[in-house]
Amino acid sequence: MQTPLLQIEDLKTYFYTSNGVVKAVDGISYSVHEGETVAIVGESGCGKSVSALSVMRLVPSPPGKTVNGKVIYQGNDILKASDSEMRKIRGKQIAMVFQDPMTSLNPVLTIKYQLVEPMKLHLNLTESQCVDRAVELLDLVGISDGRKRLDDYPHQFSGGMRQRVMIAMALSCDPKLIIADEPTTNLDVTIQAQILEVMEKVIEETKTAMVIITHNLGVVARYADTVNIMYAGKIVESGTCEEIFKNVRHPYTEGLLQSVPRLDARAERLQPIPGLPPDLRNLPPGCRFADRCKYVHAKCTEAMPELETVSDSHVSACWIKDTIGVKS
Amino acid sequence: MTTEKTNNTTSEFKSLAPPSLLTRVINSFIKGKVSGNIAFVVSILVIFGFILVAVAPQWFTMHDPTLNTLTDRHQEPGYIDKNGNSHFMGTDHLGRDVWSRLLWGARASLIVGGAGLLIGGTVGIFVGLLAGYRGGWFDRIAMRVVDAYLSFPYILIAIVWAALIGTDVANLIIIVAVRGWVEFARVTRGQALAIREREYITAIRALGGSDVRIILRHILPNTMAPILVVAGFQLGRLILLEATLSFLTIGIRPPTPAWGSMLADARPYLSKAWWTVLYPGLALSLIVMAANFLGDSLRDKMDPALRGKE
Amino acid sequence: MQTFLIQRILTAIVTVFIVSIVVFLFVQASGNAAAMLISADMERDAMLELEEKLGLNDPLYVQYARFMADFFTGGGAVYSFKYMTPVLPMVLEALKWTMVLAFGAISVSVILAIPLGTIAAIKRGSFIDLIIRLIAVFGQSMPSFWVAMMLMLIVAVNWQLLPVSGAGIKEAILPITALSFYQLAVLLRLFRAEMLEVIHQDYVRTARSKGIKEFAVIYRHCMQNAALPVLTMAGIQLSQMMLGAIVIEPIFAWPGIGYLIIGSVMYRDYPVVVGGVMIAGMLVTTINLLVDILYGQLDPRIRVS
Repeated sequence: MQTPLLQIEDLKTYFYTSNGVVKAVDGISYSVHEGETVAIVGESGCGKSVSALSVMRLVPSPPGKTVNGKVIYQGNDILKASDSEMRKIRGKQIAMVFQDPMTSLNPVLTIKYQLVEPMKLHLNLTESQCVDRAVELLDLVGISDGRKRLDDYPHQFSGGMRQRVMIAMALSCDPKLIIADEPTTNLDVTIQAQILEVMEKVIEETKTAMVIITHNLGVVARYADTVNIMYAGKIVESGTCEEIFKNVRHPYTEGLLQSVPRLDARAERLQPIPGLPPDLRNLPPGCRFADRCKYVHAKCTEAMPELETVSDSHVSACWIKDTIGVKS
Repeated sequence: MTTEKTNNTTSEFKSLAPPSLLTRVINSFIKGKVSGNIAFVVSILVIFGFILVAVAPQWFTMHDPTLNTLTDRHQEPGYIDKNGNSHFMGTDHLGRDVWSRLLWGARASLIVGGAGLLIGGTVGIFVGLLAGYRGGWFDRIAMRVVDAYLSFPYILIAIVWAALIGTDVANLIIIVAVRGWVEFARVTRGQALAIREREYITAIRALGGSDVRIILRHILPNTMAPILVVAGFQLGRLILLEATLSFLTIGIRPPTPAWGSMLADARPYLSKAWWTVLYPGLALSLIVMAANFLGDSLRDKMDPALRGKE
Repeated sequence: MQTFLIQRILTAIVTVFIVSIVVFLFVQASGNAAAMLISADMERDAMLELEEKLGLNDPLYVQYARFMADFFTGGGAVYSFKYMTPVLPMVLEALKWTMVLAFGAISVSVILAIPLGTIAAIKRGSFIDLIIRLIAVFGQSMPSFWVAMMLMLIVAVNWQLLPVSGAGIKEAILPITALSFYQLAVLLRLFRAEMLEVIHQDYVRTARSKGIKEFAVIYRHCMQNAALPVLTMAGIQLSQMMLGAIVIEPIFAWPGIGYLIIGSVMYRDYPVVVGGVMIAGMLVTTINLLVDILYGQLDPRIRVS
């Protein structure tokens, strides 16, 4: 297998608050290859956004801190990089698309400014070349009349359009990897589909690798090559998209799949996963899913299961991973 | 419906209402940590200290604040006069003990400032409640007046007023009160407007509760917390207003001690007697700071989302 | 936007009008209406005659109308007692001096508040933040006339660095410093609070994620957003500066409107007091109005709508 573009090893990011230490990300490892789309899935609060911010070193620094791990990008551990080296990576090598398009754009600057800003910094282009490129990018993401709209301010765009601008901004310096943190969660359902199509088209054309963070399994099934399921700060199952959906080996993932309402089966009642995620300040010693798991037994509460092989493209952290199965 | 029955059902409905803002503020003080409360506690202590001094200055000094002892003019702090009494803040240009003038001066500031605050506050709350709850022409007029106040410099009017009409204490209190009512009216009106839209008010009205009852029992208690915040800041502002007028010699008349006029007296002798300048100003700064801290800490407790950007 | 503008202008005009009436009524009530027009050492009969002649027994509104007309045409009866010259030119001349102080103080406080507020926000919780916040707290509580006197005491008298009084560039330093003290405190707190809020906004995080240098992030993305309310406040406070000057000028013998008004109060030179108050009041109201309009221009969100 070729060397991965991005390799994350045992990343831990904790938040030191007056109410205790919140272990938001507690030892995750995964990798992203060129052109690959990796999905990170989990419910709210499982640490997926924080893990993305940790890669970019944008974790708000008090109270958060990345306390352990390596983030190896093109052979170098960027957690150890200097601030100026990191700034060269941000935007140019790794770019990010944020969740809330309403607040993620600066309201008092034109989008021309916000698009051109990273280009002037990272690329060796003149101002007018940057502007031309900005127009092309807007076209790529489906905003017509780009040249005229450059002089507009964010509040003159709708939510979906703003998200397209964010995507254009992320692409502006030709990054090798884009991290998209729940890019469609805050949008209307109909717009969600449009944005996802835009992202799919963009990735096809530019062959950029992507890490997409979401809790929407439909998105995952459609777009992801590899899937990592996160729960309470750890990755509990990981594998190719097909493996995860057709050969699920972790009770949590099974629960997630079962809780999605289906149109083709006769719906009786929805099947949510009972209970709530654990308090990240006070984690139990054994498996963190134990108190909600329908297969729980003694070993689960005593010892933490590690990720172990199910097949060469599938791992799961569960004591009974070999005996779980779900019909697709 | 008999009155008794109305009373009973209305008080049943009172339990529909969420705990008043004031109750929540008090609770947050009780449960809060010391570091959060310290500003509040200190400022309350300082203000009480001032009130105590204003009420009974003779407990803290033996000197007569209006006794001119021309042989002891402008003595430095620590001077011991021929009777063996020490003047630990020195004497002024007429030989009067600065410390005792400071203590008695607290009286002037607190009487004019405090009375002005109470009168202005009462009027302001009344106007605000009426404007906010009833609305209509009264509200429109009241709000125009409030806007006008805030865009026009009251000090100018106060100067003309005091200079032309007179500087007796009653007049000064009126001048100060006329400045002070505005912020109270604005805050109370805002709260009244917000609260009258809530469902439990409609429920009470449906039970036949009168407007007066609604205003007094339900709206007013919920405005107490913001009113107290405003009161804190206004206290400082009004004391400063009185001091400014006294400094311009159109406030409290000599020989009655007042901090502002003490500073005015000190002006010609600035280079000779620094203690006559330093201490009255410190006293003023201290009480204003305490008042501001009081307002600040109350406001922080009231709604962190509203303001707490510390 | 149009109706809002018209409304504001009307309110301002009405306010000034009402204030002039109020002031006029004060003069009437003080029983000194005659004193406005008559020299102090006239004999009683002559005075009564003059009263009649000058229409002091006319209905109030007539007197008021006459007063206002006289005042603005710089003629007739509204003369200063002391100098026996028309009040209006005196007032306008003095205003120029006051504006020097006011603009100076605003500039100083804005220029200092922005960097200090930024530092306090960036280094939140540190020692320097604490110092800056203490300055702000003290600055807001100390009476400006006291600050003025203390400055004079320390700088002019003890250190002998600057002149004590008069009118000139060197003489302006102390009054401007004293005047800007309170203002600096207010703007500092405001700017620090605004910066703290802006720094945590999502769009700042977006800017960082593009690899923008930290200095540019703070300057381009944070400060510009935080500065707006501060500049507005500064504009509003311009008129407050004028008022602060009223109290400070006499201390430094700076020949502005404060010096004029206060001096005239001492001398019971009522025409000057009244005239000064009215003009100053009108100016203040006008400035506030202009600031309101300007605010609409600066924020693009308001402008486009």
